[in-house]
Amino acid sequence: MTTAPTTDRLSLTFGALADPTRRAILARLTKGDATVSTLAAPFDMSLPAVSRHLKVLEQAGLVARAREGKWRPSRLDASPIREVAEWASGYRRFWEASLSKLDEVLEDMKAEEKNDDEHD
Amino acid sequence: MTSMTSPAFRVVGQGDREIVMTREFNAPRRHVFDAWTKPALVERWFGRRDGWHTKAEIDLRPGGIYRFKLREETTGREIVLRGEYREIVPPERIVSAEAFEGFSETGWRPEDATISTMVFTEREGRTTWTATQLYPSTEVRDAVLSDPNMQTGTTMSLRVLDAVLRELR
Repeated sequence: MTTAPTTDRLSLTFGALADPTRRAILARLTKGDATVSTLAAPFDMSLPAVSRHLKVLEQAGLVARAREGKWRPSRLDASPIREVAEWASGYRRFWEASLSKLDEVLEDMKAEEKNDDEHD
Repeated sequence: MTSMTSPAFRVVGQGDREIVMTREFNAPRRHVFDAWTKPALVERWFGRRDGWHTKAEIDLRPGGIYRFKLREETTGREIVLRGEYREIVPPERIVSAEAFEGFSETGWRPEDATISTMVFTEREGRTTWTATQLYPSTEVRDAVLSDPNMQTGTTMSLRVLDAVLRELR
């Protein structure tokens, strides 16, 4: 589990990752920086449509684009994905820690009930 | 089906949007049910880790709200799990819609909520707790399941997460 400000970013990341085209774009960018036309090549999709996907990825902080230059290649920024992974691995730890505490509480409840019975 | 098995606690994906957690407890189910529905008991275990404290508010009736506020003493960080009860059958079953507050910019919204169905079954004095969580999307469900410790890497749909995590190692 994580803090509230982080979870806002997490939902942005989830939203950006929800689309298969955007996931494919990210997968391509793991192999190196690329221009819009390079990224568009594998898809049956117009350049503006690919640009719109890039914009979503940029807003989620998953992709950074060079400010200068004619081709403005896109670059992957993996830190939000790392955050998703950390959040996810926290989930299991959260439950394991909570449930073993629950074991202790249940033992106490049993003992308390037994005490009550003996005093009745 | 993806699965992770430890001696007692199991977490498995089910269908496109569900996670099913199971755990056995050496206690009758009326105790396990109480431990989930009485604030003083919830506060003793839910979200309790080193330095973290829990405050629970529970209005146990269909349509009633519960809030489990987890607070880290040293940093003041707070996480609030908020839910609304949909169905309560003591000591067998609790259905609710829940979400962490602050998960979206617009605050707590029912459409972000996870539908949680908890079933308590008792056998020979032991209770099996089964919690089925229906997530708002496959992506969120997969991200929750994508924990490397859960050994689900090959089957999850967020393959890009895999690829990127490999790059980072």
